[in-house]
Amino acid sequence: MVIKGFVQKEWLQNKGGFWAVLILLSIYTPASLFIKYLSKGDQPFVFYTDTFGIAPFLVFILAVSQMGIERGKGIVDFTLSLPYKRGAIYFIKWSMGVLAILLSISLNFMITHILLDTTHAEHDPLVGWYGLMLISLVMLYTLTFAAGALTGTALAQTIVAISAAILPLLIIGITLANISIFFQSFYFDYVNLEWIFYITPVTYAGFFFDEPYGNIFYPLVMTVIFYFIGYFSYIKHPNERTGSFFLWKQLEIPIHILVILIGILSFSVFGYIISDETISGYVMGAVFGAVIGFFISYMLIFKSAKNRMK
Amino acid sequence: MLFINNVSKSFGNEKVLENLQLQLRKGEIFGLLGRNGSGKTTVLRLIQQILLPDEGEIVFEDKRIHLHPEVKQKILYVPVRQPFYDPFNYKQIVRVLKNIYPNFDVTYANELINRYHLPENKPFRNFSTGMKKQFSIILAFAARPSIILLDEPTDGIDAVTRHDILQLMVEETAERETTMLITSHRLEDIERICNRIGMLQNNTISDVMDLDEMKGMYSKIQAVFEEDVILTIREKGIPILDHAGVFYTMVLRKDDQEKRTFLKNLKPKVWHELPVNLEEVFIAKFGGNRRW
Amino acid sequence: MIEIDPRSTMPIYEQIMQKLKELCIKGVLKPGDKLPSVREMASMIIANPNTVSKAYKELEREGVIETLRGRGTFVSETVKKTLDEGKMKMIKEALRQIMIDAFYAGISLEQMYQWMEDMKQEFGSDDDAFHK
Repeated sequence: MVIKGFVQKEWLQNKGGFWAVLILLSIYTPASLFIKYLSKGDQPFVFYTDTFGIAPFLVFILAVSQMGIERGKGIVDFTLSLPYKRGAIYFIKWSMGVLAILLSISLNFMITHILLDTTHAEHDPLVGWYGLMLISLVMLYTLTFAAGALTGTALAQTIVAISAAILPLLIIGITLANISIFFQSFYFDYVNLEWIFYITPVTYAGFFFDEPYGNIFYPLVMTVIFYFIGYFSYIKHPNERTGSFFLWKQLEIPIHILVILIGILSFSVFGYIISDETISGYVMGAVFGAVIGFFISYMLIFKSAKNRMK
Repeated sequence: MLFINNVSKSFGNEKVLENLQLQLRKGEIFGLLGRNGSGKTTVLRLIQQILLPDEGEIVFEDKRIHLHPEVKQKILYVPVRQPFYDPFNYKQIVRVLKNIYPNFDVTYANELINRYHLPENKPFRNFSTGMKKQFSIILAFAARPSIILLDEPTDGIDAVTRHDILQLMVEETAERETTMLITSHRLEDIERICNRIGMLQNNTISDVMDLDEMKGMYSKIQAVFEEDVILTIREKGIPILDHAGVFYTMVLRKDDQEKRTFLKNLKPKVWHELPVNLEEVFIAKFGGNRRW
Repeated sequence: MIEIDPRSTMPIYEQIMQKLKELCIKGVLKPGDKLPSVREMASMIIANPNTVSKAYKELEREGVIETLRGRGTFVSETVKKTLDEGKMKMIKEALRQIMIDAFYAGISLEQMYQWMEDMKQEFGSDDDAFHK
């Protein structure tokens, strides 16, 4: 198979996204470091490795460009008409994204390292942090990318990616909250609940903690899982459902129900809390959540079916 | 050369194609006819694996296309719209295509672009409809495929561009024996350049026939019936092309003795049998129950 | 050179044959003249090369044209006799069409005979035109 042609096509089609990653991702950390340095005055310069900043956002954009926007512009047909296996198409696209991230992070690392050395700044070892950032970005990219293999529009891809990113935390959180309402003696040890954050993708966007975990095992496993979910979907997906929220009709009702349940369980807790812990507040919250969950998912999942292209 | 074997496809609960059977021969130009929405484009998209069949398989030179997508280096699909090209100009598109299709002949593409005075530096989205079609077809031919699938290649464009496109297709098949499967509503163009045609009706392809033979297979009957027999004739399933007063114009297969005897039994005062053209066969097949 | 009408009920290869024969009758194509190749003809009139090929084969069978290997296709030297038969067929077909039209227009056979007599008078004075 003549891979070069496909790589060229994918590059041309997503130039904006690739350049955003290659340029912005490379210079983001050094640039913000430099700005901090300039404004430090007389104090010694200490470089804290903290959030990833806009990095997750950049890889997210690339994944949406490669999948959702391709679908929205009607270019998927062209892509699928080319002489490549669907699995190979998925793989090459994904690889190009990962390579772009790898390149940028490497560049980022080198420039930052040079800057830190020349400014004689104090800093923690960089390699571990950069290693974590790399795998985190790859994981978030793969998550969004796979969401694109399940959905029929860029908006749907975005919604599914973000939802999946917070899902473990959300579900476990509201389950525990509901349990603690009905079983007042239930006590959970907040410290032991750290594991929930480990398994929630959005953690790795660096939002929650000042010190990202030095643990690359979870994002690595997540990457593999998300990759293959997307892979198997892409190989067999019904391309005629472009324009619908989900490419797989079989997902519509289960997700609809899931959203309603989440609505119920989350707003019920909310209602309980704001009504000074009354059951009636709980029930009203539950009803409100059911209605909201129903309408939002109904409008998104089922109404957009009207725009389906044959 | 290309076999469509028992292919079925549904969109949701709606069965669009059922037990589709077709064989394309090398060097032929095959016209696929059917009403709007009958599934013609779907057939092309299935061949190209843009859609996957629910049942059946599509085979090119003994290889199932689904398992050997690399054979698509020799099968090109020219859809009605090609949004991928929009932001790019000729040179950029050629650079990409020649790396995807190893047989791409850049010299030939340049020749054709110059011959038809198409702009090399303007982005595709700025072309007129006719230019876009011409451009897409040129690029497809330049990739030197064995088969080209063309969706409405000459519909909706001006006479000059249409002439150029048809001429290109004819030359291509004469020179290189390129096989073509085209869909079109322009029956005139189909009659000119197709060897065989097939009708996509009731979710399947029927009446595959040689165009010249088709005119020999069907007769146009002009008859005068004293009584008002229109309902009787319609009930019998005989297509009525026209009905004005006592004059009836119908289409029959020449070998359909049963229907012929039936009509003769209605005691026509006048009976003329005339040859048909494709439009008449088309209307007879697809519009048979019109109320004239 | 020639134009085909795809909407006509006459198959295209027959139209090609008829038009070429007409050109021979009119003297536009003379015995020994070279015809366009199948490919050239197909490109000129925009018709399927197979159809053109079929027409050429039939014309060759009828002796109107002949293929000289390596040199091309030419109007045959012995074309006149074939064309006379072809001419007759053409006139007879035209006459048939006129008869059908006349019937639908309500014109009687007697009226037609009368007209033919009148025309014969008109031409009769110029014998050459009639008997050429």
